[in-house]
Amino acid sequence: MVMMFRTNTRFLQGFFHLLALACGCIFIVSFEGQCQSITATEQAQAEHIESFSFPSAGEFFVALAKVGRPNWGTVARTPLPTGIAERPQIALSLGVLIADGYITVENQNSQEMKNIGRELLEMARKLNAGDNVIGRCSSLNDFAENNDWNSLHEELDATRNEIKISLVEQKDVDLVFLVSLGTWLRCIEASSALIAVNYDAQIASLFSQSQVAQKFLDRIYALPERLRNQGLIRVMQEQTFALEKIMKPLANNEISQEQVVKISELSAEAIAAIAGIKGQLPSASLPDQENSSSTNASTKP
Amino acid sequence: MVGNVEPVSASVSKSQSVPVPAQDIAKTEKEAAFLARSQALDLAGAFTNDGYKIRDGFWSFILTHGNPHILIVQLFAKNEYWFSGAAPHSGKRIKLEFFDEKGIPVEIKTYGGDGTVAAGLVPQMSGAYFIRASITEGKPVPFCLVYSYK
Repeated sequence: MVMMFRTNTRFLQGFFHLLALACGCIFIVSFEGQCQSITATEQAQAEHIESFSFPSAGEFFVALAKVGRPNWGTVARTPLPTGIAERPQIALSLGVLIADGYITVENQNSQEMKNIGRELLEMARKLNAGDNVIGRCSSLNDFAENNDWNSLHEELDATRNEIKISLVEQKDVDLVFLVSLGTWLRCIEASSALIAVNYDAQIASLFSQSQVAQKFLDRIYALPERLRNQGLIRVMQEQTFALEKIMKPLANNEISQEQVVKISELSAEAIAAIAGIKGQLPSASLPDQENSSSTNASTKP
Repeated sequence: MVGNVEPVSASVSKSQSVPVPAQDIAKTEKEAAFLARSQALDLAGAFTNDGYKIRDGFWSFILTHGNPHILIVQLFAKNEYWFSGAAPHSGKRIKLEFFDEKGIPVEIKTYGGDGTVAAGLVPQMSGAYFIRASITEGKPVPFCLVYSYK
């Protein structure tokens, strides 16, 4: 009987061992089936398409509206460069103007939208892209007249596309990404100026865009030497390089207030350079610091 | 957990016995790519009824078995995204997978039709994401992906 007991025990032990092994196998198969991560090499080789991989201004503002209600009415318009400007500066300014269009949609300022429509056409003409956008700018005016803010969003997207198509047709593809860069910098600058003063971790996390900055930097590095060595492009390179570093989230996946302040300063310097303003535009500061001059966050146009 | 479209075996067309001129092949490929984009946009159009806006860009290439393509995109937390893809006459062989910036799979909802695939997600964190498109079997097909958001 003892021997039978021992045999049964051994049998049970063997059975449980087999059961555990079987469960382990099932677990492993399921785990592998679910966790086919991509490797660092695959990540490094991932494709990047400008019109797909760079975030659109529309997406950014939609995300911003979900987590907060920035007071866009306090954001000052960026001055346009005066006098004769080089084509890269015009392209960057066009991008900034497009971003101002989105900000104006958020602010629902009809008159300002009409002004922007007019200025867009003027700037586009300087790049010989006016013909493509005449109709779009007219639509911007009509939608602004009717306070059709939803349609204005889409019309701004379409206007941006028409400008880019025109530049591609002119074989001026280097300017296409500069338009995107101008839009991105202005979106970052305007929103970070507001968030730096009224910090919110959830809103700040939207500035986790280190890879976007890296990709813009890659495009700058890929410019022909004659363009890359222009003063304004070098400023864009410096600011974008610094932004790439500061836009990395901390260990807790957050973007701190200090980071937002720095992002605001860097992007403000870039925007000032695009506008041809010497020195830095006034930027937001931490609440416990005195404001020595009016800021973008607090000055009405 | 990563969702995917169940693969369905697709019939393989017979190869032609008469050589096709290069320009005709290019024209056919161009037409196929155009059709893929058109179908992707049609699929994305269905989401506009729910308030989604279609992004202007697209990702287009020839999808070959054993050679997946990976693309990097910037997505924002709490935005709702639908990625709509099409590969005409491919059955249900297309698979879309999403990964965060650390390369870890991200949970998605999927929809699959004949030659179409859609993946929806709401990122919890803003940042870079990777999309991997692959075909489970069979001959190469032209593929196009667009996306919409709200």
